[in-house]
Amino acid sequence: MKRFISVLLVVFIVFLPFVAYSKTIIDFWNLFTGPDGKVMEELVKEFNASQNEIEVRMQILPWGDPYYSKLLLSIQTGTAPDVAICHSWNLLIFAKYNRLFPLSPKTLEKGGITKGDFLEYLLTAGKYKGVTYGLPLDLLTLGVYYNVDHFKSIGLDPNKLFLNRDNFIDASKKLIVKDDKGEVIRWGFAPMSGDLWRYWYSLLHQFGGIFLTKDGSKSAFNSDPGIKALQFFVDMQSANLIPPTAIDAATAFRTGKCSITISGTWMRRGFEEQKDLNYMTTPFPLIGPKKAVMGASHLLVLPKKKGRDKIEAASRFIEWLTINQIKWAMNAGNCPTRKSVINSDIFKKSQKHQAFISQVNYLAWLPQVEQFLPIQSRMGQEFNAVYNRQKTVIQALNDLEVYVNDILTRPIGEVGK
Amino acid sequence: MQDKRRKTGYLLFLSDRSPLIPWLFLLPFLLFFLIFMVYPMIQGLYISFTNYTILSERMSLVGLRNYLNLLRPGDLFLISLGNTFKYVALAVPVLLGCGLLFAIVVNAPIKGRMLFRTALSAPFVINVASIALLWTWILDREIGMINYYFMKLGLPKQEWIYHPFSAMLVIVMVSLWGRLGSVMLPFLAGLQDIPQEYYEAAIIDGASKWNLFRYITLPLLKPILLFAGVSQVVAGFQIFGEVVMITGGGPGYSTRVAMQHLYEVGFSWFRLGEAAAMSWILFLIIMFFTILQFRYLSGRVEY
Amino acid sequence: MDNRVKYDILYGIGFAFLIFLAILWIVPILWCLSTSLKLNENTYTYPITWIPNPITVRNYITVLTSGRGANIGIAFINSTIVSALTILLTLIIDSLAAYPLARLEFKGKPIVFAIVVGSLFIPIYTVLVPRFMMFWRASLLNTYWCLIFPALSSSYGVFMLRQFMLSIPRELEEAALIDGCSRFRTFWTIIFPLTRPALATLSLFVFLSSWNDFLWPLLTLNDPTKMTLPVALQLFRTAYGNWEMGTVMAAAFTGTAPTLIVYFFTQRMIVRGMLTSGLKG
Repeated sequence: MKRFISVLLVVFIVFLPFVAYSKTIIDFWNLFTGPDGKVMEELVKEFNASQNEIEVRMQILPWGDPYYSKLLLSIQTGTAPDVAICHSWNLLIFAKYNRLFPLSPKTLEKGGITKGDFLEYLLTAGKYKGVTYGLPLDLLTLGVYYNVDHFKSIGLDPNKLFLNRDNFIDASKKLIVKDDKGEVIRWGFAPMSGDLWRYWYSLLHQFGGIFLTKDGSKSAFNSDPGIKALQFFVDMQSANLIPPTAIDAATAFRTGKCSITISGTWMRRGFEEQKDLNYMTTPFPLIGPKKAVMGASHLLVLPKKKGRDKIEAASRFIEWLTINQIKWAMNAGNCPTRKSVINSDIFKKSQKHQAFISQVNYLAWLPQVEQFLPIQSRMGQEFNAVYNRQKTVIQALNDLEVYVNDILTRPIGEVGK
Repeated sequence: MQDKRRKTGYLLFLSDRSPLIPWLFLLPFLLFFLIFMVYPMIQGLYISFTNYTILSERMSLVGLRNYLNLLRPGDLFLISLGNTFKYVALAVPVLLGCGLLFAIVVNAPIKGRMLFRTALSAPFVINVASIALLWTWILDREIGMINYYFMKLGLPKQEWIYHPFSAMLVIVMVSLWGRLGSVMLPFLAGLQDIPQEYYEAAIIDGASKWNLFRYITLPLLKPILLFAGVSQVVAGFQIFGEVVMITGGGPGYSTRVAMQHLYEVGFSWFRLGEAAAMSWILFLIIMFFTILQFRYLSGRVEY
Repeated sequence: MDNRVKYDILYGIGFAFLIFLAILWIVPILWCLSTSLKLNENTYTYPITWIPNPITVRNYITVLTSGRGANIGIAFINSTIVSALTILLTLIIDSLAAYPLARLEFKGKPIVFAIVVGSLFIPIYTVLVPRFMMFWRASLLNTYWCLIFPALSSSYGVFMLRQFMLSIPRELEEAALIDGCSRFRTFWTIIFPLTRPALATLSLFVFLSSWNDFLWPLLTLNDPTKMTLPVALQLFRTAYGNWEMGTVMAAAFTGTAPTLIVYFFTQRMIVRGMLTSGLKG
């Protein structure tokens, strides 16, 4: 018994300092399930080490489904995190229904909003009805990843190849490697099945189309540009230039089983980690008559909670992240959002980034409507069904149009409070 | 002794003859049952006629709109429902068949039958998340173990979860692997319960092995067959974890199931009214099949 | 003579087939274990190796202490607490409810029993949305209670225990009643102890269903520190790519080990429990 008490005492004494000296704990939720999660983890560690009043605890939740429902529910039930990441296209779900704290003038000042230190679109991306709710952490867009060694081995110049449709198709064709039996052992271009809708969204704009009408109340994509954009992939597929069924293109690219893939800035860290993968990036290929590529952003937001006592500490954390966004950009691969960072030497020297950031003047932003989450999920499924030859292009677009028009008429909640 | 106790504080309604006694025993259970089973069922029916969402301030009745929306041709719900039927039609017979067959085999007097029993039934205690992690790893097209051995044996590399057809087979296969034990063990228990004398008598009469099975084993296992059949159909219609974590419903819609659709509509896109309507349609379907099975199989089974 | 040989050959083929099947069934689990003991960079080597070289427990340490995405260590504790409480409360409530259904005569008994049997086949999704709303309004989401309470409304245990109690000889009880024991005392001192085998089996089933439940915890738990294992595992998986399979498999195996161990030691009991109780009707 004595021994038990003495053990208890020792434990108590050891832990006492931790109890007595308590920091403000900030819960931070994000959806960085890819390699970028590691980078954010490092950044959080760095922030925690940089001062001794605030301790940030980070939680990664899966992208899409669980993340946003968990976040919204946690706000509804009063168990929300203090800081969260929210896609620019999903801000409305939270802002419109008054589920976020607006950012303080001091944060806007420190974060660089007031000074106009952001790319034009991003200055408004975090706003709803004139109030700023989110600080843009990064810029998300698509680009081409290609295997330099594969290009060298057949003597293709990668820089010219993505300038137009014919060059792109030509490259995809020439890069395919077959075995003696005629079976493909290495693809030229392998699309990422999860990104199909992002490709299509980019091409839709390249062919001159738009996704929704200007007021965001109706679909506008089921038109000639929409059909052409989707048909491009179907044609590639029927010409056997891309895999007959969707494959895990990220793995294939990492292991050298395809030479080109197109994906977002967020994939870079993963490719960077792969030993003996010699890859480079170029802008999204020009398939239609004019340049366009999808764009979006991760916003840092403050979910609404009962007490306001942690806003100050939470704001300090998001200011710090925005100020240090170069570290996020360099390590996670996404592009920075502040002009001062974009123009910094260190960023300008990063060649792989330049391909992405060079597209900044013709980005096709994902629409900010509250129903975009189910819409993009549906898009993904429809286009995968086309890829798997379960639906024709016309069928898929018609079905998608019916769905989008229907869901746009039904807001998720009533604006009250 | 008896009298003393009565005097010292037994209230009248607690006396042994009181008609309240059985209900007092039942009370704790009935309380939970009413609050968490009966009430939600009724409440669910009501919600299914409203446009309630997680963000709504109040519920407003919209009549049959949710139901009509769901039953529009081409709606994702119908597609998911179709896939669920496909899954049930494939998985349940396979499960029942294999369960019965393997139960008979491991009940036979063979060496190390305990080991075989354990091996075949063990996966049924594994949680669905672990099962899914395990199988996505094994079935990975590029670096998975199964494709590795396929290549070794000179067989073509399989697409597995990337092809609509094989993706459904993967789900069925994984369910068979993971649920076999829950079907096999009841059968095994039933087999052990059949008195050996029945067989001995029949063998003396010169019955063939098939006839032993057909006229002794099967009829005596009928209650278990019924129970396993009904519970597997109910479980089959509720397939969720395996699909969500292995194929995610893809490729395209090919393995999207009803439960997954309900989950997404209700809890990812916040439309609880629609989700409740879905659950009632599903409930009616399951009821139909359950009653059908009871009618068809029960015969003289007594509960 | 001829028949004998034929029988031997058939037996041989059958036996070989059985061994093949058993291996097929066990291989995934072994492969998971093997992968979890490899260094991450050794998990996708060609040709594949079954015996890890070197064998490492680093993955388990990562999983239990500092995993990304979800804390498996905490989830393990949560699962244990939830399962233990669910088992305890289920045993008490269900055995109490089973007793009058097996032994006492009262008005309404057939109806209660019919409801008990009928609700065995109610699929969970009929009550999913309203249950969720109930817990939400009661501010009980993210608590252990929102996992435990619904489990207590399941009539499976009542049904199973009632079937078992029917097989207990009435004489034992009658002797006690004549001695002047109250109904409750009779139940507690005579029937409850005699039900022990069925209670053991029931605890096992409740343990499995509560430990392995996926959908309901997925819906009701937002707070990562409250998550149970299956949900935590799903989160964990999404935080890791194909390139850290050692760690992912270590997490999967951590979630599986308790149930497998319990199963190995109680397997006979499960079969016997099914034999003597409700399942066979």
